[in-house]
Amino acid sequence: MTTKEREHKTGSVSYTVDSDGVATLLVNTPGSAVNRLRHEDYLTIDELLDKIEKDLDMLESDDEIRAVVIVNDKDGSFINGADAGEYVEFTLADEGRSYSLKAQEISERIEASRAPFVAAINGACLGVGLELIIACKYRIASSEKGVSLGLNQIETGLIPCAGGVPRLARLVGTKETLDMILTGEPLEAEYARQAGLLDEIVPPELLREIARKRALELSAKELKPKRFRFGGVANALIRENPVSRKMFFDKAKKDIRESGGLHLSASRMAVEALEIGVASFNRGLHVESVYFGELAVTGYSRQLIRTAVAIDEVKNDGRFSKAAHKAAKKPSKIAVAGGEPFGPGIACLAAESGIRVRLKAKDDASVGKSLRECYAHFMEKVSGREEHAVHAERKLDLISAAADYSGFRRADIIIESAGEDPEVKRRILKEVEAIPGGNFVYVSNSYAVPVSTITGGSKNPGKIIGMRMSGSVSDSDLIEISIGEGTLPETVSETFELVKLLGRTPLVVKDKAGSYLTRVELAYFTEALQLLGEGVGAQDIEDAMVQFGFPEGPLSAMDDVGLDVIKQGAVAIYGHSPECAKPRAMLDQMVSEGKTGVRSGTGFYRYHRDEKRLDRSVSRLLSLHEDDTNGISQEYIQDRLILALVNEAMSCLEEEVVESARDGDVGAVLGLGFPAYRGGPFRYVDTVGTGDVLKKLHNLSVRYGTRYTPPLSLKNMAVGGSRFYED
Amino acid sequence: MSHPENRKRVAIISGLRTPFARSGTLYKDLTSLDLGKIAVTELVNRTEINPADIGALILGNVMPSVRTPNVARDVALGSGIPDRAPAFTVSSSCASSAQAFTNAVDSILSGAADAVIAGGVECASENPYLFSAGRRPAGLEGARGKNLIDKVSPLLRIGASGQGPVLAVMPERYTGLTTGEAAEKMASEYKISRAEQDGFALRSHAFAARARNEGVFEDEIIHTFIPPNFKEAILNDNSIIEDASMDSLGALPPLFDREFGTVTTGNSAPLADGAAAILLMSEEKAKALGYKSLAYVKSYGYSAANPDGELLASSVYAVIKALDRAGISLGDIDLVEMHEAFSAQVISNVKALSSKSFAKEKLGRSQAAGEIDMERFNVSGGSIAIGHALGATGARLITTLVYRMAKRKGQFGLVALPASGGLGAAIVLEKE
Repeated sequence: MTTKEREHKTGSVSYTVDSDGVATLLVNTPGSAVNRLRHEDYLTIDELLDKIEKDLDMLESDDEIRAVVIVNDKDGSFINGADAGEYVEFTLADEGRSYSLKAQEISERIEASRAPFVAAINGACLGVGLELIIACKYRIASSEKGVSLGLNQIETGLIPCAGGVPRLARLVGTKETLDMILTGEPLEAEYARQAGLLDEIVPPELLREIARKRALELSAKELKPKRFRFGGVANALIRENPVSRKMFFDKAKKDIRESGGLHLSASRMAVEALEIGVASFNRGLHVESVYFGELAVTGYSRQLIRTAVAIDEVKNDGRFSKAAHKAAKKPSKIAVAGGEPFGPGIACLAAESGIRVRLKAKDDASVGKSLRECYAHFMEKVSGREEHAVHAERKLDLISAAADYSGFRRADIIIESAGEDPEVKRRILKEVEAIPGGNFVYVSNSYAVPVSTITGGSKNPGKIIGMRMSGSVSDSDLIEISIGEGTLPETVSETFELVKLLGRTPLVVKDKAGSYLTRVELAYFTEALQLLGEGVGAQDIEDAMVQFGFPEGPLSAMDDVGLDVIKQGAVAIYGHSPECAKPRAMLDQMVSEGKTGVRSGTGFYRYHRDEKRLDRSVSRLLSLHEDDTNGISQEYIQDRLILALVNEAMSCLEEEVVESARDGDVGAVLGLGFPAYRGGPFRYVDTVGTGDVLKKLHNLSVRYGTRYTPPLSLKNMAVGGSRFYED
Repeated sequence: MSHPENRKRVAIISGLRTPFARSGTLYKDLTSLDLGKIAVTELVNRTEINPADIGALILGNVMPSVRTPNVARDVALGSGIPDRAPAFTVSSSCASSAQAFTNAVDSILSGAADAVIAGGVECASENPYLFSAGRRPAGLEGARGKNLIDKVSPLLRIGASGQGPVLAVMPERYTGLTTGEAAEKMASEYKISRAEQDGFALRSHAFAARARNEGVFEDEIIHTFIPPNFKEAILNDNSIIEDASMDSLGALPPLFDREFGTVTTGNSAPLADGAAAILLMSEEKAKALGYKSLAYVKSYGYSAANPDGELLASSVYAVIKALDRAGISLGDIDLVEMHEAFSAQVISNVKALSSKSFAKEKLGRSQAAGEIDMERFNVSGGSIAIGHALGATGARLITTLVYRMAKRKGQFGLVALPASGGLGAAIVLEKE
């Protein structure tokens, strides 16, 4: 036995050996916020796997090593899956397959190792990371919040690749495995323990010590981990009885076929690989690697990966993040001017992130309503067991409200969220600027009022910035930040950090006649109204866009945003443009009838409890003749709507409202529900082809007007044969 | 209050309170923690004080819930007062929040803190045993029922009894007598008739109603919303009876001595739920932070008397102590806020202060403290109308007084409270 501690370091993995012969393998990615099994810049994927393999070689050949503990030195992230961006480098299915085979081999070596492997998990453990962990003999997690275990490859249109499919089924049962792979949703520690995915949950400060102890016990054969022998009747039947197995998988396949949801190929292949893997472990491995290889080179998966990478880049945009401006600090208090509908949502978001917030509503009734919304938000979480009552109360304590500006002076950031009337917005800015001693960033939250239109009389325009939250605040993943004419860089940076603190992706745009998202969304919405007006059935419109990949149809999305808000936006952006007369009239009609959408309980849909259905009375109200255009193709509807959207997006890029195609794409995917596997409007143009898009736009503009007139830049691109993206 | 050596003074910057609600009514589903958080959070926001400047939170609370034995600390943590600021709860029965207030004064004078929030919380609704049967919140009693009829019948009584619980029914541990019985004793000793007592109660309601209607309480009252519906803001104390009359008061039966008694629920303070909080600062700190002070603390005095004989007379001794320490006489006082536990107590206290024989026998002085000008006494009504939130009443009296003082010319104000156990508290405030 050696008495000295030894140390080995190779790339992102390194280990030490203690005097008892327990090797501690540290998973650590230098310079990255989350741990990924990523190669350094000079390594190819193959070389990365080689590297891990070499670690294994050393561990295995070292006779003094009796057991191995895998740990990480970053809180909140154990192994966060392979850097999916690397998969884009595969050009042939065989490359993906060979990557998978290698990953499978590593898993197998971990599993078969003479020295037992124990995983000590204190953060998110996802994707390939979890697959390697499943191969360990024993898994311990810290009881701290943030431990989650999942096979999330489906999110990028893939399936597990390191033997995770058959190995997880063996560990937790077929049913549970299928759920985990198809939903991609990670399990929290306690659920993972109940499922058999974890052996123990221990206090964080004891994690490594107990892992070490268990490793030695395993090595001395003093500990025999409890494994499901049976896994419940259902799982046993699936495993042991070919008839019930076939029934189970036939039903799973049927469900996938009928759901018509996302990730169709990956879901189908996951089911097949699992079915085979349950029957024979080795054949399961084989099929897994083949399917992984096939999926990794599909345009679908590659685009999803590219989108994920683009989102990551936008989130960490060095120009705006904290490092760029040291002045940016975590706000200790924010104030929100404006009660429901938006105020409480913002207040809850701030409270969720531990920021104290003071809300000003117009009168007591509105204060009460706002407080009720906040209360309901957190109580719902308690009753849904998402949040412990104590924590919910603590967050609720952060929120207070009044009908005056008391409590605003100490706010670091003030968010005005008072709707769409520029007059009101200017008045509030004036009132807030009159608060003595205040020193804050002023954020004007609006759907369509450009921030520059309200800053006119401001004392401090450099600290004023625009913001747009999509639809209902709690649902939007993306918050758009719009830079006004005089906005200072540190104001941008502080707002950027605030949005990240709120757990949302910030997208910085310039503020010209409406922000990027609103302009693009309105182009899409008003075109849906145009189609309605031309006699296209509401259900047909909805179906066509869901088929295209949007999570919901445009009419449903309009109900979410609120027709009153859209109407104000349309007036602000289109003014009295004759081309927009019809949609505007329709919006007027709907709003005057009180059919403003989800918040009023009726819009294009009728909302009753948890149900919604298209409201038949709308067609009478708007005197639509839905029979006129029977037989119109889904593709035509999609073209009309998507090209209206795409064309507006391209205008925004030309006018530099968005800085890059990447920003525009991320905005559309996260902010508007543009299908991620299509990448966004600019990727869409690249996919369809610049020339084809130009031709289609031209034809549409002849028939329907200037809203389809393609921007000059597109013409130039078509002539030069260039694209928005190079890859 | 001036310190002999450094002449430090303690300034009152602001005071706020929730409306007081008869126990078992509006706040029946809340706790003293909830009410405390409302008051302190609002005070921090309205005064715009930087929470980092707050050195401590001291709250009075007479009947703590077992879940919040030191409710002040939980209120502090829930109200944005920095984790590092100490917080503690004091109990001195009805004088608790006066005690909290003077503790804050002392800690500022001693230099332990520059700014302190003091106040009090009480939610008697949290303590069901206070309620006599039939007056407990219906749901609570029902939940205890053994069978369906027991469970349902309390619910049917809702609204049948308009009266909430009264403090008067709580017996003193030492004497075994309730404070109500002590009030009966005082009434007969000082020969205070039923009509005199009812008349004073009527005055309390009338003055409180007038003050409310004139918006006198607007500066101090927090518009309070109640979960889960947060429906209407509560703007007013709910036990003030605008149309009280001698007839309606006279119709109430005596509570303690059914035969010869004069003390009724009508001429004693109803138990209330509520919270109050006051921001205090050293004069220099207030100046440095640019705050305008509503008033300064001139002096205070505490007294204790034999609970057997003088249970409710002790506020008289406290007043004399405080006046002596301030070096002023009763005649210098512009406004008096005295806690009204019972009409009989208030009237006898006022009489004692002006009584030469009282001065001679009890104080060994040749002169009485003086006649109180009733024009300057409890001008916004008192606890009989507004209700008595045990742990919070002292802070309510101080708060009401400072806003009233700020609008008048007079120099001095006096707060006085008798408390169970024969205790008494008095505080003299002064203007610039």
